[in-house]
Amino acid sequence: MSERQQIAGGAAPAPDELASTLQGLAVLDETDLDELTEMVVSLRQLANAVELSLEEHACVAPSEEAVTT
Amino acid sequence: MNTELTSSSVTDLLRLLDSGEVTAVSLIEAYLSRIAAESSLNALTTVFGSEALAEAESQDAASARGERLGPLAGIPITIKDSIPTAGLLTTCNSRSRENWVPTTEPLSVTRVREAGAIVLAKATPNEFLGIPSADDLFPPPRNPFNRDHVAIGSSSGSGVAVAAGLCAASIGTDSAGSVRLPAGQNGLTGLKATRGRVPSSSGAVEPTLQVIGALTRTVDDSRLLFEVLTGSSPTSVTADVSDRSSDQASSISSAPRIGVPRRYIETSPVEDEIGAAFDAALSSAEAAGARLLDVRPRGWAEGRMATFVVLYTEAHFSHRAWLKRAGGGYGRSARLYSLQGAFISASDYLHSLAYGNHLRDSVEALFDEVDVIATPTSPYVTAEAARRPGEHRKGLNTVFTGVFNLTGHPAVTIDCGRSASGIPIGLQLVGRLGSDEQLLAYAKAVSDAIGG
Repeated sequence: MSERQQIAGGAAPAPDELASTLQGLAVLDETDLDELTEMVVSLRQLANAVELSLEEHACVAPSEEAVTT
Repeated sequence: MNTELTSSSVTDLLRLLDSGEVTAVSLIEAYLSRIAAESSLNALTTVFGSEALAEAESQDAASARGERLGPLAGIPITIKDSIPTAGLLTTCNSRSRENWVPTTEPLSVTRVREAGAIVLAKATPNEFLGIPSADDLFPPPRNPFNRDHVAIGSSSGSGVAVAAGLCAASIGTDSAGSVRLPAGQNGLTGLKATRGRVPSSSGAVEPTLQVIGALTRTVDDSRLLFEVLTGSSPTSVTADVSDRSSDQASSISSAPRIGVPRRYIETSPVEDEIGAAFDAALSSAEAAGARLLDVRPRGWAEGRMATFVVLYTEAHFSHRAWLKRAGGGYGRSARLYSLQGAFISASDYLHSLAYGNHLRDSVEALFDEVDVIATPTSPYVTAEAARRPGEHRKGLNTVFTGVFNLTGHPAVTIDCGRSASGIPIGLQLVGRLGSDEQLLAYAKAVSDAIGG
């Protein structure tokens, strides 16, 4: 699978997610919010591609061990 | 101005100091003159001229009394200004830390200072992990080989300072290539050591990717600094350097098997000049007895992606408190780059770490067939090309370097030629986990073969 195919599907943060996550950290104008949104989409695309690749290689097949405290 | 002194290797300077041909004070004075003459390069943020001279006077006096000095005594160095230095102003090239004087520093930096290296100045970094923007505290360094271009980073000032003779060596950090890329673009040697060998943080949580490393003029200097950074340096100075060089040279093959990931290189966005210099260097190595073998790595593209998920997630963790306290002092680029990791889930972060573990094993298996793996250091000649926003965000400028921060493998860049613009081009060699000393010995052999 090509890199382009693999990195499809990064989700943009919803306005309320942006507002709540940035609260207390930064006040951004519209231009900065747009650029940050693009950056987040790009980063989430990378994360999705990594997860897809892991599944392909069966590196994180569902574990038989239950995770407990 | 003594340009011979300011272009000498650390190893040669130690010999001159040891023989009494130069004093520490005269060395510091020569470098301070050079710094004053080259301020337009923007390589340095803070110069500690009087403090450095006082330290040099103290070392000369101790030497005159016959006291044994450390293995780097008298050597003028700079330290990337994003690395905390106890008692020395550390701005990170950010208005948010304009007056920050840390009380602690990474153990490896303490080792360098206790070895007698004299901190002349802090070297200009990118503001944190972004790309230079107009509201950074200091302007971006210029490339000394072609001043029409800015210098590649993030240890940009470190690379420029060593190449322009403003210090004999510089200490930088490498989280995806930030020692190797500026070293390569300045005709220097830069080693990213195996993860865990160089203490690289003074924070509560050691970053996964960041490794402190030296940018030097020669491979021999790189080995010397590596030994100090790791705490494995012997107390004697010059005699032991040649002894160890012989030991390490005898432990490597005279016909090294160099693995070349041709398919990966061909499908990466490598500029023609980079590819030509890389091929020419490999031909020289082959003519000197090396065997070139094709290797077929798997998953490196995804490894680079995972590197950036980890990098930006951990960056947000480390910046969060500062953003709350002094976020208004962040430049635009640094603010946005340090915020994006807040939107990555814990699951995504752990997937990327898991991918790193998977990849570590598959990269290690490649060394069953070869002694080292060779790639270009950077796919691009200029910093401007490396920083095109769409590509920079996806880490394409680190297509050959970043993956080894994730897997932890040691990797070193050496000089392998010049572009038409005069800007140097680097060649990267990667070694087996924990084989840093051997890797440097191979780097020395390859560098000699290609006339470095």
